[in-house]
Amino acid sequence: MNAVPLSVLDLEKSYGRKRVLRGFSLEARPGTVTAILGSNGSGKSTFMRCLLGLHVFKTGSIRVMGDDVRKGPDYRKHIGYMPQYPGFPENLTVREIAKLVSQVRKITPDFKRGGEMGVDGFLDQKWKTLSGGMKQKVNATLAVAFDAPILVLDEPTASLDPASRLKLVDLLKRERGQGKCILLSTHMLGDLWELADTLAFLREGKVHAVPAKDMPGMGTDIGLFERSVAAGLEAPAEGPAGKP
Amino acid sequence: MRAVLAFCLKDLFRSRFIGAYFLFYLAAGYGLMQFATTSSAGLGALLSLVLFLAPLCAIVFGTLYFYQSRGFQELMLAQPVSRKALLAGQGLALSLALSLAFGLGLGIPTVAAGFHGGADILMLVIFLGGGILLHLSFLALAFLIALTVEDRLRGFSTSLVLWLFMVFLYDGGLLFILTSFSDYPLDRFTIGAILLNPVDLERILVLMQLDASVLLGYTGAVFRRFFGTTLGITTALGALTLWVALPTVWFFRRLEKKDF
Repeated sequence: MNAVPLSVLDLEKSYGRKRVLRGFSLEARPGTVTAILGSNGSGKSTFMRCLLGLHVFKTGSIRVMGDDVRKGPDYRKHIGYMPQYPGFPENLTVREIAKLVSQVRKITPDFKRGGEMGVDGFLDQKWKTLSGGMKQKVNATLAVAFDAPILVLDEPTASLDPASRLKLVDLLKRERGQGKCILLSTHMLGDLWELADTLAFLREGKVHAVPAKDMPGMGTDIGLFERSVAAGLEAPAEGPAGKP
Repeated sequence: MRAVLAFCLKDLFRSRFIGAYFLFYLAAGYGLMQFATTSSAGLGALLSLVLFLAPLCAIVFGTLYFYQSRGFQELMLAQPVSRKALLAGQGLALSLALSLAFGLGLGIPTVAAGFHGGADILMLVIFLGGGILLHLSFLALAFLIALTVEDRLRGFSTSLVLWLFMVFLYDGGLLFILTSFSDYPLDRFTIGAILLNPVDLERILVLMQLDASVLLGYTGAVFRRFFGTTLGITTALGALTLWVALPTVWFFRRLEKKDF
């Protein structure tokens, strides 16, 4: 098995004449959380969509557990995905949704993995009756229940109440401790403070990766850390990660 | 694909729209068959309803369904399932749900009204089978439009304009050409033009079975000579099937290049 669960090399993606990703390269290792950061329109979603097979790209390569993502959808069994806006057929119950996903993945889910999200309490409720936060809890549980080695999370805590957010952060810390490779896209700087090992700043379509521990304020002053990250988002393309 | 088909079908059978669609056809079928002077007249009235409503409901519901399930498609495409399998499952589920609602909704009252013996069977098969093909054709067009046009409002408007064109404008244009060039022999052109519109195909097929061609004068005689024969019926049903197949093939070709 490849030691690097996720490896991206010289990825390029354009929409018409607009080049969004220009030689995007990234490696993510087991047991780490890599945060993909960038200002609006910087290409965070584009990269995630290329990784998940939602976007078609021609130049560069993405390998998941050694498999080229362009060779078919099988590699996605290695990925647990949590989108910002989850969508399922609205007349299905949560139990049926879990059954659908497990039939597609051909594996029985282990809901104990995401037990703290409390999905047990509304397994027989239809999707359309759930609040945004409840949907996000189902989503988080489904992302981890299949024990995929890579977790891709897009704004995972955006719709959650503070208590549920903390539970999700704890769940992700545990998953990281069990060797999961976690990719996180978020604007919630508090999540980065608690979770991130690497900050991958996206500037003009390229990645500038910085160890989170090297950011000013990390582990000592959350206010300083947040200002450093914000400055990093606005730093020039070839410059270092920002300093306040 | 089977899992997606099964669960999408379950979702659709629980939706209010499919239930309402079935009940509407059931009520309309019983109502029109009850009040028509003859069962053929009843079927003729139902035909007018189907030609107006089936393409509209199929294209509107198909477009809305596709746009509304974008979140589901994105989430499912992040699972180990191919684009083709996912969309085929969804499309098949929607096709089955609408076809069953339509087929049972109109099938029950027409059979109850006495269309169940001898030549009536053929008429009913053409009426309901053609109606189902009409649904499938407009569903395929709806999926193609929703896949191609990213903006929901523009996609929805495109679907409505296409429906308007197929159901009203095309016939208006055809009638204008036939009137303007009435001194010329336009038999073949007319038959060709009918083959190019699925709504007209269903209309002519059923009218020929109802012996309503006499009401169409000379044109009716031309239609009867072609669409009244086994070859004509087969050609027309084949053309209707092509109206399902071509947008479907086009849809799947575009799907592979689509950025979701």
